[in-house]
Amino acid sequence: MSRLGARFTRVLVVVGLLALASVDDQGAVLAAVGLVGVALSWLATHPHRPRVWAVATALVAMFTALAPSLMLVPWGSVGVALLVYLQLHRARTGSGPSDDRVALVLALLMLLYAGASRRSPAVGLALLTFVLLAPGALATLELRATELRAGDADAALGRRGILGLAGASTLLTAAFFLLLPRIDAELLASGQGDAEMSGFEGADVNLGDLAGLQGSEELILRVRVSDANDEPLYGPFYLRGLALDWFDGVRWASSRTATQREIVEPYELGRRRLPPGALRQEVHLEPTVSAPLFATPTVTRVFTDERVQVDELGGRRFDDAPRRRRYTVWVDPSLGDGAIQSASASQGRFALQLPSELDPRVRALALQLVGDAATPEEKARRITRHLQDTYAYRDIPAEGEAGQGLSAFLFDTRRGHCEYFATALAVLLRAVDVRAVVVIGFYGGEWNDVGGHINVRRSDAHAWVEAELSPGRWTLLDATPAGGMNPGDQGLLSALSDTATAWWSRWVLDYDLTTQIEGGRALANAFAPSGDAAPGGPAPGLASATPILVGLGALVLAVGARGALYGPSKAPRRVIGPEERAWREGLTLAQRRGHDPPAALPPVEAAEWIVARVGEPARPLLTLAWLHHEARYGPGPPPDGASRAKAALRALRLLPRAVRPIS
Amino acid sequence: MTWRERWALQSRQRVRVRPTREGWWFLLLLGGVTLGAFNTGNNLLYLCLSALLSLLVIQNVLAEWNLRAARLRRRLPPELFSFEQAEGAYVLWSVRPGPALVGIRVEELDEGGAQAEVSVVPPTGEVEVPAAFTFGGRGWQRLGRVRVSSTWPFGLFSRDRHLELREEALVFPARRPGGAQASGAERGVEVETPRRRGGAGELLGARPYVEGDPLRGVHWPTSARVGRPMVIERAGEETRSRVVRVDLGAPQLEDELSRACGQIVTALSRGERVGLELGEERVSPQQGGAHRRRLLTALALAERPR
Repeated sequence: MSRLGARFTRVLVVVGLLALASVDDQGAVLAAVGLVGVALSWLATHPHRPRVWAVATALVAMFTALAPSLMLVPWGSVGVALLVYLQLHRARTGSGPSDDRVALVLALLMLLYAGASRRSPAVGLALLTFVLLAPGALATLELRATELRAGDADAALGRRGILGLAGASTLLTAAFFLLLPRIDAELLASGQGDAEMSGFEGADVNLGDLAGLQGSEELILRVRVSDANDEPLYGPFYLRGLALDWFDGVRWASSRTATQREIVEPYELGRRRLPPGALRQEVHLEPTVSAPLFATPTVTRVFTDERVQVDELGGRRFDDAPRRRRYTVWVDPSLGDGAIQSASASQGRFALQLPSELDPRVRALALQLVGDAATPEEKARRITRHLQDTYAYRDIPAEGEAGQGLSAFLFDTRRGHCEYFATALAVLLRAVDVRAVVVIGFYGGEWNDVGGHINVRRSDAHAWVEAELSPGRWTLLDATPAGGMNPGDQGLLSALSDTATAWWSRWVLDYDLTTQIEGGRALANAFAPSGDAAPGGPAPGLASATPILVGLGALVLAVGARGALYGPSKAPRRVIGPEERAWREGLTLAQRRGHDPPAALPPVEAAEWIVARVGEPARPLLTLAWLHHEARYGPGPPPDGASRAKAALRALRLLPRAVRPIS
Repeated sequence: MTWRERWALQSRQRVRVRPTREGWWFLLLLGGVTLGAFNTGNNLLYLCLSALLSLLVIQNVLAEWNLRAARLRRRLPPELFSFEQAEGAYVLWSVRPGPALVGIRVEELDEGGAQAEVSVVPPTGEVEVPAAFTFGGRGWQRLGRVRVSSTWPFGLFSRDRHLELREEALVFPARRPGGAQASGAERGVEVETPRRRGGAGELLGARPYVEGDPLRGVHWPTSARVGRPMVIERAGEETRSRVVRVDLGAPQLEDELSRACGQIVTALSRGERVGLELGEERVSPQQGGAHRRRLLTALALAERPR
């Protein structure tokens, strides 16, 4: 028993150290030292030297006190080092259940540190291990401590007890996790330490910047696009981010800085039915410094619990601090593939501005390309075809191509990535008086067939053009040659792994108050009379209420499974002695002959009940009841109990049958 | 028992929950994680918080089931002398057919000062745990509340339940050694009447050696066989008979009673016939267990005349 508790404790100590190792390089080094030290401590057989540990503890205490102020070591690092030292100390010097409990607490602290620092599924796995093993470990340690105090027999918790505790703990943890209201109070410093740059952090983009983004495979967002029948679509889609209209020859910027608050809805109640032709896009966005709201044109409704700002060029940004985000938008492709809706965008010189020092060859090239084309559509078609046919796509710039200007791309190297193609197209269109802006976003991504979603990475960053080809109607134009951006599919294993990560993100990392409220409202909606349903009508089923239902189900299961919770396996089974067996036989005999005492009566009272009705012939039954009583509650089995019981049973055969009243 | 009676009974059984040393650390950790989770909205901290809360719930639910199913009764020692430990026992059993009771600790709260602990009580059996009872006075002593506590299953909290086990125990006076010179009987008269038991040299039996027996009386072969010093009694030896007198008006009555008690117990265990004069009450010298109990009961219940 005690070995089981110690084994569980050791597993959790290793799990804690491994979780620590997953945080960063420093954590990995400390964890490696800790793992080696702990393993050696468990393997070592020679007695430890208390004095050596006393000196080491004093040194560590001194380091802990002085390192942050004198050596400017971060508090977090000092804390982690202290945790690892304490774990080593316990592994070497600890011997009793109390030491093992301390080891468990230290392991939990390591998991907490890892959980607060890094949000990977590995940390979740470590936490799950803790949830499964810690109750069994604690219970066996407590049993061992009790035995040591009481000094009595060895007892084991047993497989059933361990499994019961692990099951109850897991169910309750799941219930608490799903039902605890998510409060992001931010009373102290914000805990969002994992904000990372997506490349869309600023309002300006220099020519060539996107090449830096395209060299990275870091995940930016997951998007699930579905139609009115909730069938997932695999695209490829143009996920619009920023629209930029001002170009100075090197840098694209937006001249329309005025923004207004977008009217958003906090949650999409019950997955309402989409209007015909509309698409639903559910996006999980990784943390960015200043996140655009990525969506395909044209957005009709936004569902998010955050504030969103929208500018005149149809660009949307979240207003709050960087964090992981989950939002849903409805889009209507029939409204056009350009997102600019503002009437002011068709006035004045908007989107016709050209750099003051534009190479005269550019304007000449534009005029040469459009030739006798009369309409903006024809002009755009000719320029686009020219760029696609004449120029080569290269996502990683060769020597001499990095940071090249527009003229170099158009007339010298004739190679570049999407940003050059989009810039060239926009400038050439403007040169022939067609309004055009450059749009930066993502295109394509990897289709995950298992999860039914698209993974969009940094390497999928893309630039294209929106041009006003008819008055007030903006159209998407992409001059990048086909094959430049290759949407792909994931392999099965990769898709499974990605789906697991997406599930982890969706149901653990991104699980929030909005999901809880949405679930609660969907649940309430399901039980409400049909006339009270939300406008738009709830979708069939209770999909949105799944987490709430799972949480409640886990709670009910945990409460209902109390019988299987625990029980020492070595508890001796009660042996039914000859006296009790005889009493049972006697009572059965009496019942068969129609003398059936009330079920609640104890044996002696039951026998007296029968004797009172039958008289002397039933007295052997009273003898049997007293023999049973003595055997059960007396100091020991009564002398000659078996033979006396046998004789009483023999005498009881003369018991007459009960007289039934004639009805 | 109806549910109302059951509810009333349970409400009378006060339950107290106190954190152990590890429990205080656990609560501190729980508070920190709660603050961290609510402050940051970090779901991994919420996951940790959920795990800690589940431990808290399981701890309390199992502890409550554990104590609620526990039943006990005292098994008091046959003789209790005040200020002297006597080994009795608690008999524990479970009224629940399911899991065993684990880590039950029993402690007298009013009189008796006994405590005991048992690691496991099987689901359908009884466990007798030895416990040392000590009383600080003679006469009928009332035993009352018993604290039943357990730190099962995780050792984070100690859960107490107070049970009413009303019972009265007769406690004899403390036994104090008292020879002829120092005994309470010094104040009265100690009458010795030598008697013969029969033919000289005839073996009557063996009895355990008690303090004060002459060493020459020890029968060493019998002692070796039995494992403790034994004294052989032979016919023809003189059987001493004495009457212990106690003056109920004496200023140090408790001392008098204690010395008389010591004399009676020692003399009876030597095989002497002992009588008692206790104020107006007179008991003629006799031997035997019932007689011993009668004398000691008289001493236990003796009162100063009004």
